[in-house]
Amino acid sequence: MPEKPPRSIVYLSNIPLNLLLNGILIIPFAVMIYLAFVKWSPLMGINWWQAPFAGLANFQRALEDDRFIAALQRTAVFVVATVSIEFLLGLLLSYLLLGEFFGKKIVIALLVYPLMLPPVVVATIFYLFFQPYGPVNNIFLKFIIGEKALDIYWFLQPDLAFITILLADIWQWTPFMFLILYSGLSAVPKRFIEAAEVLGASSWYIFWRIRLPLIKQLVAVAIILRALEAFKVFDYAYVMTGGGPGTATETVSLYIYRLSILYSDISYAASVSLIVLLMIAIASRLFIYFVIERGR
Amino acid sequence: MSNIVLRLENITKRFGDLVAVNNVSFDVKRGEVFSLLGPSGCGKTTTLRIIAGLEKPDSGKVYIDGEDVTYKSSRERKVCLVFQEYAVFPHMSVYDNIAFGLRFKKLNKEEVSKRVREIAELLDLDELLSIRASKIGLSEQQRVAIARCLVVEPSILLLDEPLTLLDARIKERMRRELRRLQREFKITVIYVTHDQLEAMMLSDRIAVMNKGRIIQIGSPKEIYEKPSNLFVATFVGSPTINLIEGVLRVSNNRLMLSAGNGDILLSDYIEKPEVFREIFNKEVIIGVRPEDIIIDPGGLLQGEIRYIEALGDRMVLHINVFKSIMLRVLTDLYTRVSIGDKIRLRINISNLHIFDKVSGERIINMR
Amino acid sequence: MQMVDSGVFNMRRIIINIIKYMVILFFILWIAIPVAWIISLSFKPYGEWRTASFIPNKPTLDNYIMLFSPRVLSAFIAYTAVIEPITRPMINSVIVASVATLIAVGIGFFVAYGASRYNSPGPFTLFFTLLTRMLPPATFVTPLVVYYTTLSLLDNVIGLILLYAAASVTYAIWIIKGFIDSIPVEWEEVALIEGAKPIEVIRRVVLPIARPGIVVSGLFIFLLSWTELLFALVLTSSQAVTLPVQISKYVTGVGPLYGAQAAAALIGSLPPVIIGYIIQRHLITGFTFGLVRT
Repeated sequence: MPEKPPRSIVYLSNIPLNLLLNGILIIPFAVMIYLAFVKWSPLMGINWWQAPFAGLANFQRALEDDRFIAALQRTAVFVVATVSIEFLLGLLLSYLLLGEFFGKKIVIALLVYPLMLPPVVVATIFYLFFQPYGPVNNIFLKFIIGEKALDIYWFLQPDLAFITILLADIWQWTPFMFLILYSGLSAVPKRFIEAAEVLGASSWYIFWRIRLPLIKQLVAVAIILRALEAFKVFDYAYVMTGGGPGTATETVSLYIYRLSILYSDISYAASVSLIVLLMIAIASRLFIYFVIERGR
Repeated sequence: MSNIVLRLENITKRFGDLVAVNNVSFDVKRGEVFSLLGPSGCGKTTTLRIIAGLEKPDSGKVYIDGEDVTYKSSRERKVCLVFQEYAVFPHMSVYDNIAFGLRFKKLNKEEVSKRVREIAELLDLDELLSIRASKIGLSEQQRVAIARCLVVEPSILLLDEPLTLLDARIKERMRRELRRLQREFKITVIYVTHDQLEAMMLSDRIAVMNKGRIIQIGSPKEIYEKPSNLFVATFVGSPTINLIEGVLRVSNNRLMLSAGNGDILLSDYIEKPEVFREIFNKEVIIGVRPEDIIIDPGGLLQGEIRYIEALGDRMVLHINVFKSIMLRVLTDLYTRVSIGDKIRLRINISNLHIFDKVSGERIINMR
Repeated sequence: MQMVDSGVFNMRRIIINIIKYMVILFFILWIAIPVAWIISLSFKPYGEWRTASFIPNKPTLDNYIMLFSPRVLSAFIAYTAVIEPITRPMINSVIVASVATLIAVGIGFFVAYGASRYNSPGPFTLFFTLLTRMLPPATFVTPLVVYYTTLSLLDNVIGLILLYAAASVTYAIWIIKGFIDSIPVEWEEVALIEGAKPIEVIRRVVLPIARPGIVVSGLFIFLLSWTELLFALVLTSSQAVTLPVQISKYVTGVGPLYGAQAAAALIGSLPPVIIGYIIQRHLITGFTFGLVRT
């Protein structure tokens, strides 16, 4: 390609993006940064632009905040668990659905359905699902382990509660992985598949050695996009467990939400958010570097 | 049967309403280079894919080495296909590309390595073995694709327009390379192309196809000298054959063609006029190849040069004979002529082609 | 069509196929069971909302009626605010989600193309766009509300549209770029040498292959916008209320109206389902040139 891009491309690829992002997001974001460096809460009775300067006090407090650190760890575990499970399931589904079969379109429509529901709704449904009076205990588990199932209180035990929100996330977001992987895998040019077939490769071999390697970049993009969203998980924790029992399932987003709304501790919440932002930014930058750029 | 490596019987393949391959049958002998020649969309690539096992025919049978493989997948057939765009695996090294097919044959590492290196050396790829296939040039990619196939020792090597993507100079070289490889490996090759020159130069036998059907099968010489119909006559041969419509008449042993505007005297002495009896007063199309029209001061035809085309080491003169008839005449560069010259021509009647006007089929061949 | 290995009594192939279809069936059930439960919940009367059964004892259409008729609804609501029928939020959601998607994908495509072929914008900007998805939303809300107040974008579909587009354009950029990166540059270079203008090159060479990427990212952005709750809740009050916000309003003094929420969620999932079904065929481009004839 020519070194210098044509004028039309430069305009089209920069100006609209800048207008959009700067117009909408920059100013509120700047205010957020400001808030993190002052000490302010609506309860203080003064306007936010009159708040006293606080330097790094908020940030220091965050680094010593056990509840925050616990939430971070918890959320990190959540992300690793959900993204890897969703990736594997999505991959499995893509492999299974690569060939044609009767009713395939309907199957795909059904598999993708969870994405069409608001996360709050999914959270509500799973909340009802795992209640003592819900179908998980009364129908499914009863079928497997009998009457003992009725004694399981999902939301009262930290591990079980964690599992419930894991399941809700997996249920809703595996289709996301599936869609990206499936569209990438089926977009591999047919001639590579056919060349491998003629040379004697089985469809299993072709899947692992031809299709998958050719969409490596896309896989990395899918993982990072999903991981970013997973880290901000809120709805499931809020509706299903309320962060409980205690704070056993309190995710970072839930904690920040409580700081802002329940405790009205706005500047502290802002500083915590910025720390989270920074951490995620560094982690993803490293991920991108190692996986995407080295793989070129 | 052991001499025939491939047999196609009544193969038909439809895509929706389009009949891509229409009742195609032919045999291919062991060790020969057999071409499927025809314009785009004539069904040659689809036929090749059916032979490879990538498409299943709607009806008909495919036999390879005597075995009915019609319903066998491509991995079960002992064939290998070199795609038009080579389909070299971009994420693998050249070595891994070539070794690909061998991995399914239960060979140990040393054996694989030996074979790959042998082929790589033969095809001048030994320096590139560790390089990623996406980083090498087009003609190298093609050699990798060919090496990939040769190394698994298929019964038939299928090539789909292999030279189309290369530029002219490399084409020349690859043509010779392919011929050399084929002779060395004594491998049966089925070659698909739309370039008649390629087919003529490389093949032992050619099957000319159009609109899904086989029009004629023969050696390059046969196809060229005895085209079975108008399509083959015009498709093969460069510059294109001259065609004149009219009615043939013989009087006093003189052969004339009454063509619209008047009579063209083709020859003033015919030995055996009876040969033409069945086509007297029938509407025909005469075909004369440009090299069969000779500049002769004593010739029977007179015309005026309208246009001169230089073709490297030859010239094509476009000569107007008789109001609206233009003839292409092939001559060498030494002939001194210019536009506007009036010139006399003689037609070599022993190479005259006569076709039925309605069906396009050959009626008589002068040989 | 795929050729399969021959052999009528190929035991291995039959077993593999059985396992394959059983796993597919498992996934279908895995998705379908909660969905079936939502459906049954939407037909359950108030007393049965907290039961385990998949089939209501006394099925009723009340939940659905509630969605469209404020009077029935206000009989349930302890306070006097009358909630609107669900039609307006539905329309708002359609407008907001579609327009936001078009903007995000439209802008995102050109950014992806420029970034992939010319490094314009450069990798830093690209990474920067990812930041939009890294920030936990809770504390961004307040400054945004203040900002929107000054711009009079509160309770306004345009405000939502712009926010959603800005927040999700990075999806479009990264996914589409992934597809464009996989196209050999040579094809475009050839077209440029042949004299085509850059825009034509994009239309003829790039678009057909990047199409699945455009469609996938478009679908996700649409779904993200369609189901977003937090910002919609805060930025709208009456005019621009979207579907998820409306659902969240089906709450009474004694708890959520589960049946109504289920009914609303089901109805609300129809437009995305329809759109998803229609665009499905654009998700696949496994065909090589000239080998599939229509």
